[in-house]
Amino acid sequence: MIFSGFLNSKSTFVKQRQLIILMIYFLIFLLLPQSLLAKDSPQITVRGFGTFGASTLTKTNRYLDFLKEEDEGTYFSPSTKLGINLTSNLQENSRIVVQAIMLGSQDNAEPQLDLAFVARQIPSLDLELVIGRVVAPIWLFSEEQSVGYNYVWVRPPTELYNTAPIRNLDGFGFRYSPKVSVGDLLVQAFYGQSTYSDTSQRLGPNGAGGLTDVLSESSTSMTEALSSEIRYQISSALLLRAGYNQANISPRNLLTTSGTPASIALTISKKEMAELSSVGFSGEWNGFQYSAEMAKIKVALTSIKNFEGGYVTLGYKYKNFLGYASSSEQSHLLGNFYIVNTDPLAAARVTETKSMSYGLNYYGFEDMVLKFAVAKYDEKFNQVITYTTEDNNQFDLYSLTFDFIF
Amino acid sequence: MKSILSKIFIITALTQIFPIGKSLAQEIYVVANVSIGNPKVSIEDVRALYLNNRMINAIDISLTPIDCPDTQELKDIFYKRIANLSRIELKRHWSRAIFTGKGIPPIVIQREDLIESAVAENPSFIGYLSRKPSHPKVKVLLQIN
Repeated sequence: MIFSGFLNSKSTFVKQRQLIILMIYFLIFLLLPQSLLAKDSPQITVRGFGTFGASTLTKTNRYLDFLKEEDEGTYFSPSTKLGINLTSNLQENSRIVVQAIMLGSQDNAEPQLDLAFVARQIPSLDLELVIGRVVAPIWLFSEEQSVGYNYVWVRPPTELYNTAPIRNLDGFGFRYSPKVSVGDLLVQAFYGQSTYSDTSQRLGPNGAGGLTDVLSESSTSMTEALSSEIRYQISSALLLRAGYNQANISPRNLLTTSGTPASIALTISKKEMAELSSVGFSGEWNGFQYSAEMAKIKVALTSIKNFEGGYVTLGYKYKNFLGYASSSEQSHLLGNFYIVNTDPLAAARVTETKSMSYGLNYYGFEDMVLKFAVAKYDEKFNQVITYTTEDNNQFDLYSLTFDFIF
Repeated sequence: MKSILSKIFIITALTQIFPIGKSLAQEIYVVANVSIGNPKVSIEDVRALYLNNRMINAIDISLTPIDCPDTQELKDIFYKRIANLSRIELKRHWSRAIFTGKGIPPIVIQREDLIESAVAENPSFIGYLSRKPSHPKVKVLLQIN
């Protein structure tokens, strides 16, 4: 009933075709014979996750013309996605993992390979060697960013999470996870390259998402990428994390597409080395849930100042309800840029973004979470060509999602 | 006589209405094949094995944990005691592990007698039961109450 209300809205951006394709995939999966799913077989495990979601944008002082009309309305597809994971034990201590995701924001909703790796455990050393495609552990929730069931927000804070222009790495690496003192340590590092566009993971009606996940796309490739992190889980009350990433980044097609590329991407007009370091923590204690991260990006281009950003989230769970507030901020001279389709010069460089999000989640179902959130954004920008006397851009994003696992 | 019968009726009814009372009294026996010897195993070892697939220091071989199905109350009690995890929290734990490619849940065997048989036949299997094992090749590694 809720969805039909969204579908009946007059928005020009409700991409019903993609949504229907996505729902067909989902129905096919549900209709698969139980023997094929073999959920509890020791040989193969098939699991899945997904989100049905809708967002709507309200705004004032919208700067660029192309955003004024096209982005009004309700977006059904941006948050909608379906993922399927197959994990098979090749032999004792070895496994192969394949995970595909279909995004409602994509034109064809074709599955994209998210994980495809072979892992070999060496239990006596608490070590695991991995080769193939992995999700780069850039942030605290990077690896589970597509699985809304796992975190409290509708989407992780975009001010931080959208600054990294990649999601996956094709390469090799290791995980070292010994028990140290009172907690569990995890050190993981991967080396490789990213050969496909970041647009696949950045949600939005045109394929990507930028700041609000209702904007548009960019494309980036990375080589010689190193993604590493160290985590220390003391208990469910406290997880500490620090990460370091570096890569050679080459932006592609930036001026032929519209919207907001990841900030780090547009800054770089040619292949450049970039570094991203971050620290954070999260935990749950007596009903309280909390997490915070902050990050710094350095680009090997002396004229550009560093990016800095972070967020703090605090929530409280009472029975089946969780309410939370989250404050995010980024300041930089790297981007994000808004670029008009037909006129590359008609751009505005956002120098500061702040947002405040409020959300309410319902956990009354074992395998599903219902989420509602309001995010209030405030951007300050410098105009490349002066279009308006306004120097800031404010808008609110309302989102409703069902996150589920199966 | 009447009052005794009514007391029995009330107690029986209460234990049905509040099965938590039964849960609190439930003994859990972590069992393994007799061939692994007499290692000293702690609740922390069992937790690390079942949730993180980590080796138990006192045991040389890599053990494969066997689990009960979600439908069994024994499973809820077991994870509450070893890790203070509710069923939903356990689901979230495995959701994180599976969809980040870091691991998969233990193998599930539908009935306790089948778990005992599997442990008896395979020296690398470890499981848990709501009763003491009766098979001569299965021994109790740890009693959790």
